[in-house]
Amino acid sequence: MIIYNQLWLNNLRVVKKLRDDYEDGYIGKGEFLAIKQHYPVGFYKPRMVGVIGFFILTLFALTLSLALLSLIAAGGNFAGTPYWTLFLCIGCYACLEGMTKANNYFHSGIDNALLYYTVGLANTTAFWIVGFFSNDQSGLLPAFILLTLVYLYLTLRFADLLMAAGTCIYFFCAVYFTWAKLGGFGMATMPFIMILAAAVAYYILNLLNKKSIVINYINCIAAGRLVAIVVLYLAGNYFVVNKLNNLLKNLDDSHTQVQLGWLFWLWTILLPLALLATAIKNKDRLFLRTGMALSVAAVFTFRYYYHLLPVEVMLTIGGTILLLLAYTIINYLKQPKKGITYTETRKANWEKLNLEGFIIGQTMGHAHQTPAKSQSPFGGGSGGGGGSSDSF
Amino acid sequence: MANNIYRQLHEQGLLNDESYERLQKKESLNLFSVHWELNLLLYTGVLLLTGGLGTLIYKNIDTIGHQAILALIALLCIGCFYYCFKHKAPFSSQKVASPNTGFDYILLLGSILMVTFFGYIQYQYNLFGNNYNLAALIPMVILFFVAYRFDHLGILSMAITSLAVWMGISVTPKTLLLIGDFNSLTLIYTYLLLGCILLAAAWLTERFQFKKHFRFSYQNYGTHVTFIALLAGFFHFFEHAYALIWATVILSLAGYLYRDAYKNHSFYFILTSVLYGYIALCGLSIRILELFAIKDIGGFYLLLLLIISSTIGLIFFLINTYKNLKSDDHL
Repeated sequence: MIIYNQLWLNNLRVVKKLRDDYEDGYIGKGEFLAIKQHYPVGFYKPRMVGVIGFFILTLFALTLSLALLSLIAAGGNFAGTPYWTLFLCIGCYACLEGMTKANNYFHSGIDNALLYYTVGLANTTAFWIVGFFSNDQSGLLPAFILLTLVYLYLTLRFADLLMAAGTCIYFFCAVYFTWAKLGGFGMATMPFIMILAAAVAYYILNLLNKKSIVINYINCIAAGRLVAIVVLYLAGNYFVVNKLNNLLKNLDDSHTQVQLGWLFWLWTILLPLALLATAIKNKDRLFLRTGMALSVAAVFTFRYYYHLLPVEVMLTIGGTILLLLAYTIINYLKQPKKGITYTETRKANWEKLNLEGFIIGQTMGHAHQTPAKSQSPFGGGSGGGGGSSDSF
Repeated sequence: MANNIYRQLHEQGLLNDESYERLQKKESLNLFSVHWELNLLLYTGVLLLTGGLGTLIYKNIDTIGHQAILALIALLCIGCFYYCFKHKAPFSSQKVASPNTGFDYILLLGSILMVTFFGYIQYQYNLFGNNYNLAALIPMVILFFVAYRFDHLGILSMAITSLAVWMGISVTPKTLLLIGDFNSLTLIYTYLLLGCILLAAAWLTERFQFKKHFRFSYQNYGTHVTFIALLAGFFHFFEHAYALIWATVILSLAGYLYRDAYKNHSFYFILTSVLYGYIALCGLSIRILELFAIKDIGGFYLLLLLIISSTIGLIFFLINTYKNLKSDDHL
């Protein structure tokens, strides 16, 4: 099913693992070079800069090519129909297959651009055919089902992260619209059905995660799990439930009560905490980071309904609590506890790039422009305040 | 799974006993690092706290008074620099590791406070009068000194930015694209001068082996500023015969930087020089097509075909370059 050379994929896994170990100083250079020679990888995969450059150039060339083709076809009757985009989509996919096979591309930027163009055109075609653009939104369901299958196929073929996430998102869309067909009863029970669907999806992905059959799709499964967890949370989030409820009953935003409200509040607050606890227990990084992000969502949800304090007081108190918390944990973890440590076991790859300097130049550069421009009412002194307004 | 890989490699004789044992130990320890997450927590905490305090002070400025705030900033700034000078590592023309984890952040905080202090005092009390040059010059000199003395890349970036401010422009990429006004020739020439200075600094850094790791920052800012200024000049004179001179300068600079980047195995700079050169070439071919007065739809088709085929050619050229680079690269 997968387009890539199976042997090279295995070799790539070995080399990647050992490259990390080499960079961390566990093995010598001679050993690593010997391993690299013994496990040859023939894929064409440049480093990050190259991938981004090739991606942009290919997008540029593709856009112009499709524009030229459309321009030529514009005279006929064919160009104004969804079948034209379908035709372009098939053309793109043919290029993708051919070039990936011929040149052994492996997520090199060129094949990524072709892949995303293909799905973009597939999306346009599907929504165009079911009449999304003519404001008749009753028949969207077939498009979602079709696109789920298209994305699933592309995920299996190219092991791409975004395709995997797309598969899950369209799957949940399909579930949502199917259940919505039940009318009032369907909408009323929607949160529970979505929670159920997300839980089942997560359970299945988690089972798959341990099987050796999906060894080439580990990252794709992680992307799927991430989407499933986020949907699981959003389906029971008080804000989302409240808004959907208002939408359904044609109420305005002043209505903040929903049935079984306590249950959704519990879900909003407790699920992120449960995620964090599980993350620590199972040493699961995906859970840890998702838990942190969803905790922020929980705080925002709470803040949306209850204005206990003015913003700046809350910021100050929140900042102090976070600082104290981080400091305490760092101190506590000076010595590794239960296999958890504060010391870096690996240097993240992006740290090798000189991004830090660039970002500091970007964000701090404005602080001392003020004397020349005098636009800000508070001069340079509000540098910190300016930073916070972005984040809050 | 990892253990299987290691065992297999060990059996094939690709890992010696010592490495194998080390790797197995690492696997059995299975340490889970929360470094990144805790740092994120710290960073968010600092951001929220400064944001909250800043707003609090801003809202109560009447009761607190500007002098008190200035004094506070100055005090904090002096405190930061006092700490840094007390814990500094001896100066060297090579890369110097910072004495401890917190050091870099304290230095950064001190530098930001220093810049804030000068900006504030100029805005509120007009200390330097209309002499904005001086108001920008002093922080810049201090920043360059701090960057070199304590070996801090982030502060070097701040210093380069303030050099640009001092020259009357902002080199921050965001502003460069958003409010950049490329129509005035003086601005273009100032940019050009700045870019050349930065490129020269990059070259000198390498030549005299003085803080060699600063080269990337100089080269990075220098390349973009010079090329954008040159392209702005090119399009400024687009209708004019001078455009040819500008295009020649762009292409020769691109060629020079390409060779330089190739020598240094930097695909990033190869990419930038090729792309900027390509933009100039595209502009030139549009101009030539215009000159031959092909203005009907046929000319447009021709232009599209030209750009498409040249972009595809460019992609294959870059792929080849990358392969050549990689064959020299042993890792």
